Amino acid sequence: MGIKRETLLQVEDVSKKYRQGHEEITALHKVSLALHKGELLAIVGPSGSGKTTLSHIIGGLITPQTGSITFRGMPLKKQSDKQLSQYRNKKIGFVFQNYSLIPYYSALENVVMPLVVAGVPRSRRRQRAEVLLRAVGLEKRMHQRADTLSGGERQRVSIARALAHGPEIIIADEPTGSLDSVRGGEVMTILEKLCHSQGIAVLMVTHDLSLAQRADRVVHIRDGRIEKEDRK
Amino acid sequence: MKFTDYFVIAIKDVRRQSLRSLLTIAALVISTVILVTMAAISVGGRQAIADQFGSGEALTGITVTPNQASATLSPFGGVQEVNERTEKLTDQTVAELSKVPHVASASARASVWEFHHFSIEGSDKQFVAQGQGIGSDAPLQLAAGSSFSSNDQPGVVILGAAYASQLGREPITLIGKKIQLTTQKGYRGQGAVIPPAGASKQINDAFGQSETTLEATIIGVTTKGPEQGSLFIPMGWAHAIRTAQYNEGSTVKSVDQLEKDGYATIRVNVDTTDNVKKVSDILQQQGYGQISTLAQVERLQQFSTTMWVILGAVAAIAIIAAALGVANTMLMAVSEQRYTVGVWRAVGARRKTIVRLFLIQAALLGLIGGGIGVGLGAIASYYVNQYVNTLLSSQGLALTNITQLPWWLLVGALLLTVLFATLAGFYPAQRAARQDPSAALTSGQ
Repeated sequence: MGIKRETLLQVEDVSKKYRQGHEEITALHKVSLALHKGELLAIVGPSGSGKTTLSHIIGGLITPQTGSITFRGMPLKKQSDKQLSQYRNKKIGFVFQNYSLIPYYSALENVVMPLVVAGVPRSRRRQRAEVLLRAVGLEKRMHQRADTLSGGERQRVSIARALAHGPEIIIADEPTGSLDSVRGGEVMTILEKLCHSQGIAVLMVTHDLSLAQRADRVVHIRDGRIEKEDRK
Repeated sequence: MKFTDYFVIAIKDVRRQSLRSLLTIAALVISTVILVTMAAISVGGRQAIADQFGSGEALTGITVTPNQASATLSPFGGVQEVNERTEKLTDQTVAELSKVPHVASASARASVWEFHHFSIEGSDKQFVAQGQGIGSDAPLQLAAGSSFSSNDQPGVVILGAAYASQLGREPITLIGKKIQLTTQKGYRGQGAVIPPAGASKQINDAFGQSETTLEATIIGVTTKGPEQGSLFIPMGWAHAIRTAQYNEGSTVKSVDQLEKDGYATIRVNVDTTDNVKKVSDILQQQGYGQISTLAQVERLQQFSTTMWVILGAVAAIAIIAAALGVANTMLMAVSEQRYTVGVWRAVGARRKTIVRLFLIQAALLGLIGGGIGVGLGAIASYYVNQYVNTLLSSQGLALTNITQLPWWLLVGALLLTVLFATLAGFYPAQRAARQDPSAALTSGQ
């Protein structure tokens, strides 16, 4: 038995179906899982297994048809657009495979985006972004446009942005998918550090089993259903 | 999110799509220039009418005409009633009109066609002379100087206010100035040296091509009003000028054309503007052909309103076309920035925030286009005014401000352009906010 950790997020019997033309596709079928504070949870599965849909539901970007998601006991399904937006802004940090940076913004401008939305004063948000970019080793590239940075640098900017507002959960969807093994390893190390030294829960979506093995827990998903769960 | 942040983001997005933004702004500039110019002409036109007819006192005038067409009195047609009562306006007509209830005064006006042009001492400008003979008792509102002391006072004139304006001089500064009046060719009135009896054909032909110069002193300048474009002379002098001399055998004979044809018009002044319609109706019932200044003003204002509607419609079409351009640009921006919207949503932007981002982008296009348009519109209006005044000046006519640009027009045009652009951005903004952030994020950049 491991140490009992504080549960941040609880997903219970969540189902999501999409309509594609006349066809109805089940992306998730009665999925249940929990995410704990300071935990690195990997969700693995092949393409189309529903792992990205699950991460977007947890991140408040999609609402499921059935089931419930609670963050610290607060049901997400009943939240208004304002409350869900605040949840994404304050509690969640996203890291995507394609970096999800605005290409014509500088690294600094990309990092301050969540702080701009939250209405943080200009000087404070700039200060915070500089600290974060320094922490990911980009202090000399912070005024570079995002589209002029390398893949590894872009992903580090993306991580810095995800951390901007001190989130409790980071959702990383294939964070190393577009990087070579060295850069991918560096990104993975940053995510591990976030979990273990800062107590941030990281939900990592990947189809790379070797990467998933570095997680505290691995949930295998196939055809929208959880197949099995491995613990370290 | 703070307003300044919305603004900074909007500037970045507008700059990023520089060519498309530039073309949209160009359409907005053109529409605003049209709007400002049209509005400036409408406002200027209304003011010109107000200036033309002057104060409320001037509106108490009714002009009675003989039974003949008088195009100058009704430039927009259908105003003048045909005089069935008399074909010739005489002193007896003046006396009859004076007895009509509510008529404060009646005075004759004699057109002096013999004048061609005149110039004023100290200026090289030449003006078309619209000479009018009036009695010394005719009520004439003066800005400076005095009326004629008698009908027979020789060599004096009262200048219409329009000429003073055209010279850019204060009326008082023109009092005592000499004017040189040049007559039509072949003039035979007072001061003309007509060929002696039995003169050769050559001498008579040369006389037919010669002009006579008469000199007079300005003793008064009128206020602005319906008669501001006239050059008034005493009725006695008008008779002398309109009396044609010719040789018959060895004797010189003369014919007073004014006596023969009668007066051009009789100016009736009503006691109050409220009674103008009443007196006008009485004169009509009595068979007099007449036109009231009030009716003229009403018709001109009707004409001005029609012009306002037409010009306004043209401007509205231009603005709507430009707004459609903004809507198109914004729809394209929404389509292109689908991924960016997804990113903003992922970092916590609300739907309302996305709507505002796009609305401010549209408003910014309106602000830039409107700002430049207002500036260029003001310049265009200035040149339209200059052009019209050059034309008027070349015809020897009084200058007027055909375009006017009050501050409210400039501010209003700018606000209207921003409003239309913002409204045009409303649907694209709603569309951007409604899109699924999850699908947008997985759509790729």
